[in-house]
Amino acid sequence: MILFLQQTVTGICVGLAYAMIAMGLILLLRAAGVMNFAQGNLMALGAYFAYLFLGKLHLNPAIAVILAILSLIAVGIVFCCVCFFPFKRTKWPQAMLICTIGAGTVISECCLCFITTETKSVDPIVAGSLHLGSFIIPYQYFFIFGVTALMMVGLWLLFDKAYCGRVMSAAAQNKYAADLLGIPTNLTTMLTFCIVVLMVGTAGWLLAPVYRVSNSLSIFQARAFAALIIGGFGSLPGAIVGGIAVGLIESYSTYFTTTYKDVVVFGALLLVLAVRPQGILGSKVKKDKA
Amino acid sequence: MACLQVEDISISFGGLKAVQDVSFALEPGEIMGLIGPNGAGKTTTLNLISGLYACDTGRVLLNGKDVTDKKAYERARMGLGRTFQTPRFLSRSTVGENMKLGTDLADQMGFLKSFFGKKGNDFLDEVDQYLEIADLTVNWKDDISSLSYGQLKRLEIVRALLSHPKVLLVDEPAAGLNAKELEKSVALMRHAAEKGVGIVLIEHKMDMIMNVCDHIVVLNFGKMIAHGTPEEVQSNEAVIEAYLGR
Amino acid sequence: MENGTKRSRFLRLLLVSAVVIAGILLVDKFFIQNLKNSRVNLINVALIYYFSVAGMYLMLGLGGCMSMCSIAVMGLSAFVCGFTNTKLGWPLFPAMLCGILSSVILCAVVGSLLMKLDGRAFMFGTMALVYIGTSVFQNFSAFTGGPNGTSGISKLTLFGKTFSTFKSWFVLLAIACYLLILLLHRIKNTSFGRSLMAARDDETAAYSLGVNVYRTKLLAFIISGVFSGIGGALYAVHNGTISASLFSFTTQQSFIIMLMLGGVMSPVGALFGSILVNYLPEIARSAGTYLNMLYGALIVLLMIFMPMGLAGLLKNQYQKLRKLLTGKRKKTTAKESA
Repeated sequence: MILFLQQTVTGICVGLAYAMIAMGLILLLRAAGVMNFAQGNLMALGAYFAYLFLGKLHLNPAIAVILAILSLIAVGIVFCCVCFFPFKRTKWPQAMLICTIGAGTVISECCLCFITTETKSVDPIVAGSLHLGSFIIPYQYFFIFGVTALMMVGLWLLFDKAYCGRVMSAAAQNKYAADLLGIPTNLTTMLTFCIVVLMVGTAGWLLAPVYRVSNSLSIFQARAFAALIIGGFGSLPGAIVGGIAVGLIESYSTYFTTTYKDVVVFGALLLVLAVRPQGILGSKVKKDKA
Repeated sequence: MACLQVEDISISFGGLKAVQDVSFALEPGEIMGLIGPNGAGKTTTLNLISGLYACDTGRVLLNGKDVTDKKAYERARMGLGRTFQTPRFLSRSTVGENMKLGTDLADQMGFLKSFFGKKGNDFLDEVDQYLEIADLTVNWKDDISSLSYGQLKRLEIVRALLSHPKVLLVDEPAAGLNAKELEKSVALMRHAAEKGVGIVLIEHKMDMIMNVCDHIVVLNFGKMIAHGTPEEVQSNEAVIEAYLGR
Repeated sequence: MENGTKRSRFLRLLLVSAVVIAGILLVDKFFIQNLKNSRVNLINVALIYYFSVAGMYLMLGLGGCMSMCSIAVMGLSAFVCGFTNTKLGWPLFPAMLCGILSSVILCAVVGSLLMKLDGRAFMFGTMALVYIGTSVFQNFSAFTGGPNGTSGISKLTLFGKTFSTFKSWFVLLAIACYLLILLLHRIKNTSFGRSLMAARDDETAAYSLGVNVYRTKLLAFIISGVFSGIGGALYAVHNGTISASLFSFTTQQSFIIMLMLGGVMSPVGALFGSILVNYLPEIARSAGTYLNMLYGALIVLLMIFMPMGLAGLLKNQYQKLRKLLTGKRKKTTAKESA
């Protein structure tokens, strides 16, 4: 029972991180039409920043956080300029996808060359853990819960309540019409890129103490893809549900296998595609007969 | 025998009854006009006939065969050609590849046969004949995106004719064309009708419809409110009401 | 008239083939035989990868579907070939055939399941297959040999010649690639190729032109599976050993890069793309730790400035040149310009 609880907590915690990456993917897909294959590398970048500012330069945590936010925003702007603007009128959206792969390689290599080539550990933001009998939750987990929940609420407020968010989603839905209405679509797209990079980078920063800092953090991206499909393609709540589902599946799968974790997770993806292609939260669209 | 017979077809989207109990018959060589105010369900009717939407009720008969349960591509193979309101071409291919798709449909050639057997050049004469009627000059190897809207509009009818259809559904051939180009489109359709193709024509330009069509069906709010010869329709009370309001 | 064009086409094909084969022999004699063995291996492997890349050209360039599972299909074929040859002791040809057959079955099953979905779901489904494949290849020791891989696959003997060294393989692989390019060109000009292109650009138009989109795409997927299967079997025999670490998503990514680098619409371009991607790191070794960063930056720059790849760039320049030389186009009939 304790083991079960422990795994549930771990699963949800990891799942929330997947959900953050998946939400970032959806936002980019909506705003720019690009399937971002550098998402995992961007997340690893967040973790590397955590190590760079806290472990290597020993900065004051407050200054470190501000610096990290600023540099992530800068990365977002550069990323947008490289991976979106040149491809606005392309006939082959796949070129954009390849470009993100290339950009991902550059990001991860930069981390290796300029920050560290070794796998490093980062001190958690709040050390120690909560003991309830033999049931242990590190405080860092609470922190992850809290921050991701805060970001999700923030996103919801931004896109559903704020004028700025509405303008952004209008621009995402129909660029041409938005342009005609005088919405600065280039600016809103760039803003979306910055938000996404910031979000994913934060996820990386939060997970750094749990998983240690290395480029292998980028494998989270594949799980985020799985979360996208399982939750229901294209909706933010779907991404959250999907992310938690993937996290739980992964964590419960340790009951019967440790070597074939990937098979279980991606097998679940294929199963969902076969049985319920619209995902857990997706609604069935009436399809033409053709 | 009628080459296209539509019996009581209906479809609704959510609560909206887009097409309700429309029936008509089309003889070979006849040009039938399908008119009505915007949103009357004309294009939806065409989509029902060509199989892009499934009918909720009713039957569609092609050359006496019931095709209601057939998929769109099967109907196309049985001799149902169509064009679209905005021309639909393979945007990343050449003119030649687009035209050959039409002849592929006429040949009904299987993949393997097409792999080993060479296609003769005979269809090129046919293409040139059609292009001359349509007053088009195109380079076979040009990208399709290099053509203008008016050219595409006519080229789409040419492509549909290349597939040797028995019934041709034409959706707003005049939209965006100037008078001279329109004349050529009409000439193409007349030529096809002379060869025995039954044509259903959607159009807003009344003078053209009255001129070209042998027979007219009028739709309003998804219902058929009148049908008959152009003269009969012109003097029909319900039609005047639908168009002018009361 | 028709016979004449047929004969002249055949003659042209013969001429081109003669030139290409002569070229391959010359390259073999003056370039390949003087290279280091490891470099020859790289070029050969690039040629083998080209089989998978060709399948992706069929799926993406003609069919517009992003298929991500070539590497898993290739891996399955390679390991089935290795397993039947080393553990069951089958002769080489039945083993290779078995490998190819297994990849075809995999593609048929996965394709009929996923092809009904939209493009993105298809992409993720095939991606899932790659991750599952990687995990199985690395851990299922009884079948693949686990982390140690399979080794000791017998050497190929063809026309009384044993292909024991990498250098002896080059001519065979190059000619196979040439045949593959011919096949792809032929497919592009058949009703199948056109149906695929119709399905890629406009499904509604495809339906109205009598194209069964599902069946066409499924067939393309299976054909690309055959290509990948042949590639996998060749890889197993060529290297003699297979290690599971090759069949990962990273390799799949580099397949896509090979295709896009050479030009998504051009089979010949894709061939050069695969050789470049595989061989360039060897040339640019001196860049050291910055090699991968340069590689990534190069990909970004290439995609920005020539999204249609090398072939697209050449085509553009050629068209500009022709326009410059011939000036304005004159009116032509379809018959003349065909």
